[in-house]
Amino acid sequence: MKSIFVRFRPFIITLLILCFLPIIVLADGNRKTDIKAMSASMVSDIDGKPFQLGNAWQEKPIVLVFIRHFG
Amino acid sequence: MRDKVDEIHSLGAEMVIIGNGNAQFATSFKKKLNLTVPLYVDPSLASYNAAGLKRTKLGTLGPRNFLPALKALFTGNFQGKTQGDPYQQGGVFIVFPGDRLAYSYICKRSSDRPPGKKIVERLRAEQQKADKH
Repeated sequence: MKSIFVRFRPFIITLLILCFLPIIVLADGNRKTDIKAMSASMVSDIDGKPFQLGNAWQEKPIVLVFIRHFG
Repeated sequence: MRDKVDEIHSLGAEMVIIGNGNAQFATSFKKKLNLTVPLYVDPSLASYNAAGLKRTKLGTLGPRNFLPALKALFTGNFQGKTQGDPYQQGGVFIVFPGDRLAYSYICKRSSDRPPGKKIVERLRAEQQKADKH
């Protein structure tokens, strides 16, 4: 058993790397929430008019929901 | 979160939705779901990046989404044609005037659902705190 492992070690290691490589490549790093940058960012309403996001919470608190995509 | 709108309004707050498709997609989305809350779009994803939201292929296509996707199909929730960035994940924030971030929930994958009840409770607690001051 041990001799089989030793014999095929390079192949096994390569296989393990190939299995984990997509996870490493596809994974996303962690980013911090920057409320000032959020406040300054520009979005558009459904008529295409620009709107500064920070204006949404000027008067009262909001629950801001970012959705994945429409459809 | 749609079912929490009335509760959010009763607490003196508003729900604002941001999507990452274009305005045309947003119009049909608003009509389809009969939304009464403000809806905005950000195809550039600048606000998503500022919010620290994840954009990940694994979060959309990964194996941890298979069972939730099947469950959604069995409950009659079919996804139509993707309108926007399919790899951009979402999140929920509670923000008070003065750029005070009271709560954040950043979705790790497409099947990750923000805890609506917990968010409303948190909003209520933060409102009570704000009223005291």
